[in-house]
Amino acid sequence: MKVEIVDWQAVASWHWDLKDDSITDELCGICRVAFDGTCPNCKYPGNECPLILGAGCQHNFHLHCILQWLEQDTSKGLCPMCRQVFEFRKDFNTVTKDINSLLMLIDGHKSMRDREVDEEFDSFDDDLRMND
Amino acid sequence: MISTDIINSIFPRDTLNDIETDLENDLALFLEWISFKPPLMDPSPRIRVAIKNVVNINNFNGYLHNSINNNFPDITITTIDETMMNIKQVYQFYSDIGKFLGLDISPIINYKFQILLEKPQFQHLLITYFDDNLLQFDDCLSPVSPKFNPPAGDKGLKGDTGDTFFYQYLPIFNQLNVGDNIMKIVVSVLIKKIKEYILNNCVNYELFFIDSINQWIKTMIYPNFKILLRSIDANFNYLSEILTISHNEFISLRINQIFDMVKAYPQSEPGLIELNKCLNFKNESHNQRDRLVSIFLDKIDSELLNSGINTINLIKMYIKIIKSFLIIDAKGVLLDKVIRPLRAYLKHRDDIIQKLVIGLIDDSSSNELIALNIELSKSEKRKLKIDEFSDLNWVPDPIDALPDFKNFKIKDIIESLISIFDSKEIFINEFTKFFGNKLINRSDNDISKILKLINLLKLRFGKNEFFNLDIMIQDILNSSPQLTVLSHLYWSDIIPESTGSVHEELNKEFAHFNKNFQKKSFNRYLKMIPELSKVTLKVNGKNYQVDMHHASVIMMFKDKEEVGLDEVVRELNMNEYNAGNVLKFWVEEGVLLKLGGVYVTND
Repeated sequence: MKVEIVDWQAVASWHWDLKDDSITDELCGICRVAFDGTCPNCKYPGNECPLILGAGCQHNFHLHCILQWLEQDTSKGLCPMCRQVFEFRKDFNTVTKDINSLLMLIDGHKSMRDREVDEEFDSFDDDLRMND
Repeated sequence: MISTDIINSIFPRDTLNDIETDLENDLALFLEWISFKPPLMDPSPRIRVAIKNVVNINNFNGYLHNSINNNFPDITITTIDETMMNIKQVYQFYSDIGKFLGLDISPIINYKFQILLEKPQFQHLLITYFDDNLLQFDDCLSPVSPKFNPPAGDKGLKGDTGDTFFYQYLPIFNQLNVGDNIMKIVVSVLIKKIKEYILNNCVNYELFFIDSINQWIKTMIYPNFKILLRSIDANFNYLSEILTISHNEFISLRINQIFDMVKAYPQSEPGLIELNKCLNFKNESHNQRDRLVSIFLDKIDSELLNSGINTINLIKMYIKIIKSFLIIDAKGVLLDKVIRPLRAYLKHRDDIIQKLVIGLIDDSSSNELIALNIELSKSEKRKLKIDEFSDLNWVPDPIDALPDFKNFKIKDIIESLISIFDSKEIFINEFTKFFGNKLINRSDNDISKILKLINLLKLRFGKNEFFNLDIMIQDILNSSPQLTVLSHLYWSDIIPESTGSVHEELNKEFAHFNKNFQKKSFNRYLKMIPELSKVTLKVNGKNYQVDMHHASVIMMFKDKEEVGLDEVVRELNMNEYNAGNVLKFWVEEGVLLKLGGVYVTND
């Protein structure tokens, strides 16, 4: 029998792609709101506030939530859940202002950490010289 | 009948008979002369001598009083005319004796008439007389007027009435010094007349009456009373008192009608306005206010608070109570008192929220609570509520307000209904469900209408309460006619449970939507909701707009000529009942044929 599709009025729901079927957690670790829901800073969920997928660890956060966390110096650029250095999957086709801020914050924390390590080395060198 | 002899034998008192002197003959003659045989005889010379002798007796005056007291004639009460003539005769007789003896015997005479006047029969006679004739006095000029001159010649009934009273009865009353008693009776008749007038003429609360009552008092009642009472009390001037009495009678009637009046609102507005006028007329209306409240509360309890009355009618009555009682008392104190039991009752009605929500939202004429929708549409013009502490126009609550009286909450119909419930959440949930369904089945026209309504509701319920609906609207605004994308967490009431899967070919087609969506949506992907989706199919040259399940079933016949029910159930994860219904639809459309246990295409 001949059946053709002429027109659609489809209704669908959208979901963040976690890219990893093993992740069962559905809540942002910071605000405790579902990934597909609105972060406390936004009025609407969606493109304005994409889900940031952890690259080093498997923890995911709303963009604005992780931004706020990393803006604090005390965060030291670590994941608030597992305390590993926070990195995220950058497989977006566009980079928004907020994502750019996130990149810069992560870089900032990285250089801070590098400087601290350098200082530690320097003082270690000094100690060695003193003992000489 | 107790005779004087019997009384005397029990309470022996000295009378002129008891004086044992040589004057016995004189006394006998004197007593014979003063025994009641009107009119008083002119005494003969012998009697004159006897009188001369007896008056010198020690304490004669006292003996005389006692004698008159004991021998006073009974006055039978018949018609007013006869009775008054009778009284006149008795009075005349004894006052003649007094005059002849040169003694003041008025105390005993007045005392006897006082007793007569207080007899219920006589009171009744006077009340009936005034009741019948009262409104006919003003045709005659009162004798108080110096120019008193009865109308000559043309003496109708009215003129006669006045004449009879002023010429014949009034002088007697004046002589008896019983003006106060008469005044009391006249006033009681006045009140009776006013009551009758109000009950006979003013029952219809859809009309105004105060002016006509005032007019009636001023033209019919007051002139007659004035003419009558001025002849007794020259300073009589009680117009405002009489008006107050009549207003009180009038409110009394309206208070008894209060429940029906509220029910009849707005037709009963005249009655409510006049109730307000009269209740505020005088400060002493507290009793009446209390009576109004208690009568109304009793009625609410017996007429409204039972499960036989449907919720719509209860809400209608609630609105009428607010509107009516704000007319009666604009401060809302009475309203606050009468509305409480109904509020407590409505709170536990199962369907109240649903009915209120529909009432607020629906602007069609089929809305039985359209008053709520109209009220909501006025929200924009509503003055923003100023909080009590910074309001420069603040005034204290009225003294008879209950301690938790809330002025603004009580006066606004919507605010009043919302505040029945402790939380607004139940309303918001109902709105969300209602608008969610509307949005899913939308037309463009609907959306602007829905947005307008939601903005009005935000003014009432608070902006932030609607964040869920805001997201839903945003979803719809971001969608295209071909594809509606929902933020599923916020549509949980609308998205149904899955009732089956979708035919592979439809899924393939849908994948295009997904691909397009993903391009502009970071890492988001779409899941079709088959139960809400629709597709237009051309089957055998004819177009059908059906849901995904109907489409999926018919798609199965694309490559096969014959499909069994069990195959549909298995392939599309549908339950047998749903699958059977879908197949039945296509059979009824003539697209499929049912042959035994299988379905075949009907090309």
